[in-house]
Amino acid sequence: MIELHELTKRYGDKLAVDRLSFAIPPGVVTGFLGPNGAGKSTTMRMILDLDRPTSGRVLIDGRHYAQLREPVKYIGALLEAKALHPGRSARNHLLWLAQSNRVPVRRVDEVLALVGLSEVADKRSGGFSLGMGQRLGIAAALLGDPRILMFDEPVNGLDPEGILWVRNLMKRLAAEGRTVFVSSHLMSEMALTADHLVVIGRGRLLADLPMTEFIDRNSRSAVRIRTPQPEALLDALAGAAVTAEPVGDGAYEVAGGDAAKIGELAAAAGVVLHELSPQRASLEEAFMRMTAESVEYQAGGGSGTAAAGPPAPGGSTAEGSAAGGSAGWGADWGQRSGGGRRGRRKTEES
Amino acid sequence: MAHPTPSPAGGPRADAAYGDGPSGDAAHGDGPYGRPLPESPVQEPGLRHALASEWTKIRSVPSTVWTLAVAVGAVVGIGGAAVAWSRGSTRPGDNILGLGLGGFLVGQIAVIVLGVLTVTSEYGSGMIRTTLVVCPRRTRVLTAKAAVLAGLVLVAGTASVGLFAALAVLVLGPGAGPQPAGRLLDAVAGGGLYLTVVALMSLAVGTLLRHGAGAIAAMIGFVLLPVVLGLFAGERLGPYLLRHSAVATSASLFGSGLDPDTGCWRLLATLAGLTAVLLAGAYAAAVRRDV
Repeated sequence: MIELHELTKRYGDKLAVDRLSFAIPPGVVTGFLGPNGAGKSTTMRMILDLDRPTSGRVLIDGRHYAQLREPVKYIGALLEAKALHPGRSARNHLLWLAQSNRVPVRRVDEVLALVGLSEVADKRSGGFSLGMGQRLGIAAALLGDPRILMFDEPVNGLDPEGILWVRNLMKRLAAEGRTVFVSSHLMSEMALTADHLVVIGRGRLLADLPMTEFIDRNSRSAVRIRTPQPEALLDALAGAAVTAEPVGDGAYEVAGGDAAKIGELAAAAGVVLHELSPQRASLEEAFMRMTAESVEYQAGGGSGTAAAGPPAPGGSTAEGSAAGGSAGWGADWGQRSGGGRRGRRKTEES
Repeated sequence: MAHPTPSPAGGPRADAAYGDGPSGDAAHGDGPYGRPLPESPVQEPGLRHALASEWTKIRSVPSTVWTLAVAVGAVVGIGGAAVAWSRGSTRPGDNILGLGLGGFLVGQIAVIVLGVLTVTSEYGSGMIRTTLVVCPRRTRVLTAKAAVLAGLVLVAGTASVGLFAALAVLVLGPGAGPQPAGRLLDAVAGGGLYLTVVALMSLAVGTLLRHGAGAIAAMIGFVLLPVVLGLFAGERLGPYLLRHSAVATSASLFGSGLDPDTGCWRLLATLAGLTAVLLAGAYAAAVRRDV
């Protein structure tokens, strides 16, 4: 169990981490999410006593990190993929780690086999690909058979098979009762791995809840309708106490609506429908919405107005498709910074 | 470079090695993680383990081998060449050890590079974080680094100057006559200690600056600049800088100092004092800083 109490880190006049309090329970994979620059890595470095907090503290099973006697056997951490001397072999890299904490030297070959690097154990790590560097970093984290594991962006640079492997590894480590704390800026990855979510933005805690709850709260559905007779349709829907919101581009959406029922209402009123499609907000969108306000480097100026937290009903569905499904995450930060739905609609209309 | 394909090498085999099934049954005991979790450690690892760890680090990178080879090669090779050149032209009473000064000055540049890289290679790659995660006591890490570096340079430095001195006495001794024992001691023991002090100063500067190129430049500047500045720094400061420069200290060890009044050991002590101050600064910085 790792506990953070009012953890704060200030660089000059910039608050990198702002009174962060949460606990990382054992036996589950806790996902640590936030946009780039949200303070994830700073927080992880403070947990490991690499950065000194401005105020607040971190307790690991009730103790400060520096009080751990053999940290390698207690916490395994992967911080950067290629934090290695390029001239040193993988085996020697693990060997010095083992020696520093009295880990039996045979563990070196065990973890090398575990991550699939046995064949290149004596090669210079400078020639490793990013993915191999990640594997070596994971091997180093597992070296002391620790009860707590921290991974900072572990799937970066891995191929699909490697990603699957890391995912299963983390789940298995948690199933063995270990504490697994994984940071990522990819909600989609966390959705497949994490049991618990901690979301931060601009150093502040935005959410600390089980993944199932996050999904329940954020995967609201809606029905998108397109019709050449909007007035007639809106009247028909209003008659059945169904509210449709315009979402721009001539389309309307009914939050939490039932497509079959809306189709029947339209047919009864004799309204022509050009589109009747159920929409479902992805977790990615929910996460982006939650953190949009706290993205550090926004493309546009101005402060947004959307509340940090689960999206309001009705607004949760159109976003992804309106912004263009192919746009990468970050492509639409600028329009979000314009402020909530107003900004979005303006972009859609332009 | 061999490139393991994760699919056959990594994926399935790794999974097999890992144990069977997400249950990770502790009673199973057929994979590395089939064992129960480690018991709470009782005894803290000490400096001994940090030393073993740092020794593995320093011996397992090619840059250590190269810089030491260059240092030894410069002292023995350049000195030896000067000895060979002087065959037949020495007169009784000549200071034949002075011929080693050129190689020694070149060799200390390689020692500077080794001392700086010992610490800055970790800062450059981010590996310092791994080091401090596994050994949160930062003073211990720096002490272990300094001890391992000092031991290595002391042995290699003393051996290389000794080798040069043996060569000089063997080849030129018949012509130049016996060398005073004190002069041999100054050169061999003093030379080895001087290189050790320079290595430690480089380590301190590397720790303070955390940047390889910057620290190497600062150290080379420290060795060379006083000689240049000494010529233009006025009547009081100028001679002082010249007398106490690293170059003058090196020269005095080889019996060809600028100022015979100031003994080589006193100059060496001055250098060691400055190194101690820089090391103290390095300790303070290492303890206080975020990494």
